[in-house]
Amino acid sequence: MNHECEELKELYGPYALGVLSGPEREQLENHLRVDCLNCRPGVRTAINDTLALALAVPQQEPPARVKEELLQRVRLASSTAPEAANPWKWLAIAAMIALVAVMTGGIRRISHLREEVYNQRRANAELQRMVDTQQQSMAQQQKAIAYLRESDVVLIPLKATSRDLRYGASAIWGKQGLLLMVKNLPAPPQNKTYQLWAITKDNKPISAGIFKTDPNGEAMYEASSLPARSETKLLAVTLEPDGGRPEPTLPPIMASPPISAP
Amino acid sequence: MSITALYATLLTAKTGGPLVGIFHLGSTRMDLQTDKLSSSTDMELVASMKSGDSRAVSTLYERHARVVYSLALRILQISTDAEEVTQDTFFQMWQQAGRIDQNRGSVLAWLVMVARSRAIDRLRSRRKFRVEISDERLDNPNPFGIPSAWEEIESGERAGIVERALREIPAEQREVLELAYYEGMSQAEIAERVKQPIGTIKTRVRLGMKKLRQSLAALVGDYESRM
Repeated sequence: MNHECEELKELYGPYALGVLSGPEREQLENHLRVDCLNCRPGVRTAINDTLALALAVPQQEPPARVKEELLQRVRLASSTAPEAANPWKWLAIAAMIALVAVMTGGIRRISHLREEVYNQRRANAELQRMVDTQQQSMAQQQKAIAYLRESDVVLIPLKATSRDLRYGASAIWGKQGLLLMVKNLPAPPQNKTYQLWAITKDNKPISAGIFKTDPNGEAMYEASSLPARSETKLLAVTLEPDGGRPEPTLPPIMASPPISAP
Repeated sequence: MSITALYATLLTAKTGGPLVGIFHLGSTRMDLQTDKLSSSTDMELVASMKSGDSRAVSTLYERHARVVYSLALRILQISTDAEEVTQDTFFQMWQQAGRIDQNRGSVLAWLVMVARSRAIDRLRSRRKFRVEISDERLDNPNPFGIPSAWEEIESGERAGIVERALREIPAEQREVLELAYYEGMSQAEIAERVKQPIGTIKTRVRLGMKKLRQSLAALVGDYESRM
């Protein structure tokens, strides 16, 4: 028996009793792990001694139902043999459970990753859409600023012809042309388009081109082939078949007040 | 000797042949097997459990349920809790029969250690104390094995020996052993309970266990010399 064994001998009893804790317990357990031939039998004897405390208790018979219930549990569990009866079977079951767990975990992980990728793509698409919108808006603003910078520019408001409708537009008409900016105008029905008209002072409608609104009900349209502003009485927008018509086929949905002379 | 065993003996004497084949009818055959289980050692019963014989649980229960239940009741003080611990302990043995190493100790020691661990675990849950007994002890409650000397002693004699051994331990040392064993207290908790320095408690635990060892050795030796 070496010096350490001599020291640890004092701990056999407390250890067997379950009161040893902290570094002392750790020291003894580490020592026992190396299979010490001196200490193992000593600890075994101490554990044996604690059995005396169990046997010293006044003996009482448990109620009969405890055994009945126990045997019922055993019978239920007996549909599968005790775990050691066929260790390979349990090993196989354990392996299958582990495999299923791994597969389930893997599938879950893949599914999770797919979902993450999908969400990320959606977020990217949304971000791209916002960037596009912002860029489009900036381009429109820059174009509007370019129109406004010119001298001899008139700003012409167009209002819905029906009072209960909220859509409207603004036209900037300068030397370089006319820029129409539409707000809150729903997209035209299928096979239809909006058409801008310049109504001359002799009440002749001149087509200024066709346009469609975006999903937000907005449009920025640069008109072409306009009559001279001085010859124009007012501006109007009609809903026409796709491609537009040489003359309006329906009443205007919005119109400007008479354009004042510059 | 049971009637079945007596009948079997008579038949054996008459025919001179083996019993197998003579008692082939269900219930009689079953009785013979049950008798065989009754005379099996604890380890043989555990081996029967390993091969799926649930009747071995019944036999083992008959043998040791009193000790297990009485200890659980002493620790928990509530009969329904003690009943549950008893049932769970034997069911655990049925489930883990394959893991019990017959070279490592007795079945009774295994049952007692599992029952105590379970009971103290419950006790501490009630008190909301941290469980000192590690998972390792619960999973493998008999890591070093226990000699079967206790099982060799007839139960009536055994109770007497234990009682005398404990009586020989000084009262203050016995109190500490009982608080640790039956109430699962740590040495610090015992020190607080009995209002003594922890160093004193450690000394009492050491001396108490040493005295228990000496008394048991002397008493068991005395018993064996009389046999």
